[in-house]
Amino acid sequence: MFFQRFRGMFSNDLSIDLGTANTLIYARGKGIVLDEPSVVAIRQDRGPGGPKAIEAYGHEAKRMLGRTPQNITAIRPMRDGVIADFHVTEKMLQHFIRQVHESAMLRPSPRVLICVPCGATQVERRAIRESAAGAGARKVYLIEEPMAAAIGAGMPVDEPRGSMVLDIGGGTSEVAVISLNGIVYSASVRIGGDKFDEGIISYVRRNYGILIGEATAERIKHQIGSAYPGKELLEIEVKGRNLSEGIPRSFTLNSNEILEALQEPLHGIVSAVKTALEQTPPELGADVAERGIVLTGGGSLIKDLDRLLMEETGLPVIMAEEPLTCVARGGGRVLELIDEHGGDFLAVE
Amino acid sequence: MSENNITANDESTADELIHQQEFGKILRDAREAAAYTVLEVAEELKLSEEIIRALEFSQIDALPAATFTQGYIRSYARLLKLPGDEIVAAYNQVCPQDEPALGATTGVPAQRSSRDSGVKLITYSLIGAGFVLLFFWWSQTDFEWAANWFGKKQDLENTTQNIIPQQDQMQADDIFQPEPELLTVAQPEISSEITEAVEVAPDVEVVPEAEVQDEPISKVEIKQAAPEPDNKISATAPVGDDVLVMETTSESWTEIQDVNNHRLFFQLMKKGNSYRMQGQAPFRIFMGNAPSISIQVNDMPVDITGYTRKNNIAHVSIDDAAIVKSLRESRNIKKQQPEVSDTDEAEYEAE
Repeated sequence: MFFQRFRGMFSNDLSIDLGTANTLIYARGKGIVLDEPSVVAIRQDRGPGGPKAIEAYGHEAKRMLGRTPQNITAIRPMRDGVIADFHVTEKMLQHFIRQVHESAMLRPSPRVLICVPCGATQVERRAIRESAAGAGARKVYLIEEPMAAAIGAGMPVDEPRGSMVLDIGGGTSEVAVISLNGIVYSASVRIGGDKFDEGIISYVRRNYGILIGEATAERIKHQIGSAYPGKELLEIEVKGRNLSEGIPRSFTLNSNEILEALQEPLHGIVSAVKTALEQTPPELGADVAERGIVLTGGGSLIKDLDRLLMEETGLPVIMAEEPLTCVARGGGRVLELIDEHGGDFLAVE
Repeated sequence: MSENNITANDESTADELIHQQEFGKILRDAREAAAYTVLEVAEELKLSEEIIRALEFSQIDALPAATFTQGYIRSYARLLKLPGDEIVAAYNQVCPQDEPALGATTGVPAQRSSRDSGVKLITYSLIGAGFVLLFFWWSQTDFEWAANWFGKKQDLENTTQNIIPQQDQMQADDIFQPEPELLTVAQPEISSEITEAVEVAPDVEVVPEAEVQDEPISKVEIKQAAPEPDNKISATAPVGDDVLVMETTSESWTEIQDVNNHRLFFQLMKKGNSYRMQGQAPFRIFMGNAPSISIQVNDMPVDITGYTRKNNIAHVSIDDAAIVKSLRESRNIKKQQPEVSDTDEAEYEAE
């Protein structure tokens, strides 16, 4: 106990956005110190049942996704915002925590604040807590993602006014109405960047009879993905395997096709927002209508998503600054506030 | 086409105006150039007309929190095809980024880190205190048991140097027993011979003679015989007749014990004094500043330079052996040593 506190002196307080797609770590007093994909490549030699070893983490492992030989599997240990593979998540967290404490002589033992989706069950929260503790954290705090996102976006969460935040992550989208440091209403839908990719993959297969990989789908999404029909038409040339011929073929996609491909997940998000507005108490709803909805998370970088939500809800929708890091930064602020106010913001298990 | 020209012109004016920190004017001019009305913009951005006007006239008080306003400006700039980031930067210059809404950042107790000056100070002072304690302990032990231990060792070495030749000649089996009992037995023998030769300390002879008479029975008895005379002496004569005179040239802490471990002297010797003590030899003397002390035993000067350690501490057992040594050195009678030991041996064998 004492030794842990001593080791804690050599560690930074960390706020971790343990996302499905990316893991971000904010170190107190230093800012964002790590931004890596939540991907781990595992090597298993000597066939099934053989010894397992971690081959790569983060960016390096992500490059291996879909390109691995038999003895290596690149996996994403998080699914839909929660842990899918406990041990791998633990190893990954351990690696990332050490990575941000490069210079430390002792094994780091930081206080860690981790964001959980507000839809996560008790078991899923417990799993996240345990895996962080197993990764060497001295103390683990959990916070609900929309809360951290709102704080990170700089919204006045402590005022007695309703603020609505929509955080579109890799695996989940969270919508919440916050007032007086607390969540009044929150909802989580398991739609996020991954679902967009899946939508593109299935659209291409359905309409072109061509199979593309996740990485290609993600590239298409980043380059020409849009959520609202725009004036200009963007095009991209991609290569995939023709299902009928079995041979890789090159073809061209345009932004309108991608818009069509993304319709289903986008509709899911829009209806979640609409439901949230319906469920919000009228006074807070009026506040939201006056000031608008704030968009955070990597998913909100899809072109014209704010436009779509504006048209669908009739409310002002604004993008937060640096939406990708909002959650981690917000968590970092909460870590500072824990010392000052106690854990008003923290999620209960 | 006309729209593009307008925006191009606006961008050039925007750069100039940004320096004047008038974000509202840029927006207003661009809107008028693009022939939008405030109502149309409000419709488009789903904002109220008041907010659009507040934006255009840079009325920061009428605008909501910075996050929202930045978002409005970006949306507005995108609608007018202006560089949003630059206008937001201009807004940020005008509007101080007040984040107290999230709780005061001032006075937040930072996490204790090893790099904090306070923690550093405590660490260094603890380490310093550790060193001081270590030094203190070392210096203490150096004066007490360590000095004693080394001093004893030196005594033993010195005494055995004198005695070993005799023991060699006595019995091979019992030689390697550097026990003090053997030595105390052996010492008086030498002294007896020396006193015969020098005729200085006749008092010491009395006891050793008795021992020598007992010795021939066996070596074991010699060992046993040793304490007996001590007992006799301590019982009959707690104060011996040997006279120790010490003269000092500077201060020195000194401790003197006689053969019965009676402490004769235990204090600081003052500078330039002469101290005279009477007791039973051998004397065990500890000196804190040995070079400043000259010693005489029974009016014979004793050379203690060989016993003085680097830090001027000396632990000397001045018995007759030491006197012998000093006498030998002073009178150059080294050549007689084998003869003395021979006679010794002869005595032993005869007895």
